[in-house]
Amino acid sequence: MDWGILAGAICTIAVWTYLADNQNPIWELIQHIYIGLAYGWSVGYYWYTYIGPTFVGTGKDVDSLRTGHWEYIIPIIVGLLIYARYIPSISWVARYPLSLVLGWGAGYILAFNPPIFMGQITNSFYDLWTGQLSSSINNWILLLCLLGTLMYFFFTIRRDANPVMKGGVWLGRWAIMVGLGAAFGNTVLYRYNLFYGRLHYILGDWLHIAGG
Amino acid sequence: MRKEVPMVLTVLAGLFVIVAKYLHAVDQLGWFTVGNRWFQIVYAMFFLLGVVSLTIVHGKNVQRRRSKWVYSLILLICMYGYGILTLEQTVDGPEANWIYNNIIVPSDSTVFALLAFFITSAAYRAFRIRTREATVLMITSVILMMGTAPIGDTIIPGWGTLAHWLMDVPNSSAMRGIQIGAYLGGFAVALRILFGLERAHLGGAS
Repeated sequence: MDWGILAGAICTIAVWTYLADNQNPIWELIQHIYIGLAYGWSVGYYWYTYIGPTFVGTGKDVDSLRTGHWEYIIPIIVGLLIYARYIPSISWVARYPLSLVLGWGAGYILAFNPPIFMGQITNSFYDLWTGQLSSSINNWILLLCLLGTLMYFFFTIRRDANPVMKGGVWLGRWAIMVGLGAAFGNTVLYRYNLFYGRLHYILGDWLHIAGG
Repeated sequence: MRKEVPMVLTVLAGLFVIVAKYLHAVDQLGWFTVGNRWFQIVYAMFFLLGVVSLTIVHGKNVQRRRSKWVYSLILLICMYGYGILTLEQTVDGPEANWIYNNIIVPSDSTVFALLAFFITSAAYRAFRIRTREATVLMITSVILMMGTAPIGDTIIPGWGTLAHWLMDVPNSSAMRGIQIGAYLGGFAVALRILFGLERAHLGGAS
């Protein structure tokens, strides 16, 4: 008997008991086991991916405290200040590392996102006559739907007074509905794919009564 | 000291990235690479936040014998036991990997698969055709679901082509519009943070 598959099947059925009753003890048990194991896994993962390499290094080419990079003591101490939030009298100290991370993230967005963002804009200059009627019509639809969607998000211009804005917003609303419908359809398909995967696991891999 | 210094640190950290990236002379010094490494170390030190929070919440449950405290105890045993195991033998060790593949992965994918049922009931509520917009949303998702699955082309030949056209043309332009809007929103928030207008992270209102 494959104990791994048995364990996986028990976990799968335990999670499915949620459908019968969302307060049943089997679901409560698997929920707590799952959260505990997931956090336990994250400890090992972060240690071996980030913390370990900083303290002891993982090879000759990685700079670490062991290889004499004592300046790393500074970010280590600054990072550890986040745990001050659990000590009420000095909880404000936790704002220091948080501010650095937030500032770095904001600067990163401003410095690195423009190339991606500009790429989206330059790629939106569609060729409106490609020599083929069908692809030209597609490009017209692409452009008009894009402009409509952008207009829909202009909240600083009065929509009812301007006929162009009014028409653009109307088109944009329909385009967004098509986009959201497609996103919803994809999500439903993905979830059902996962569900079939679990069924295959139970009926095929475990019970060997279905699937190949 | 409690709010002003963090605000200055936020601005300095943000400006450092921009200057290090855009001033050629500074870029040549490699400051950005060093700063990025420091940032990663600061960020990595946050890794125990979730563990500490869970320990406090569930530790209190166990200590005060609150209802369902046994589950809290099980959670703590699993978290610390598996944490120590992964520290001892890495996440790729034989026992750690067995637990990951046979308990965490099946539970994880089943939890996500559960959403199939809830999304179906949500679809029923959302798709009760009350407005013209809801009708478009419903028709699009039905065309897409039928077109992506083999049954669509079997029932009506060409259904898949229609689904692909919907994805490639109206859907992609609407999504591009939404993405451009999101980028602009991200820019606005980043600028607000750098100008010190966004102070929610300092524990106060903006």
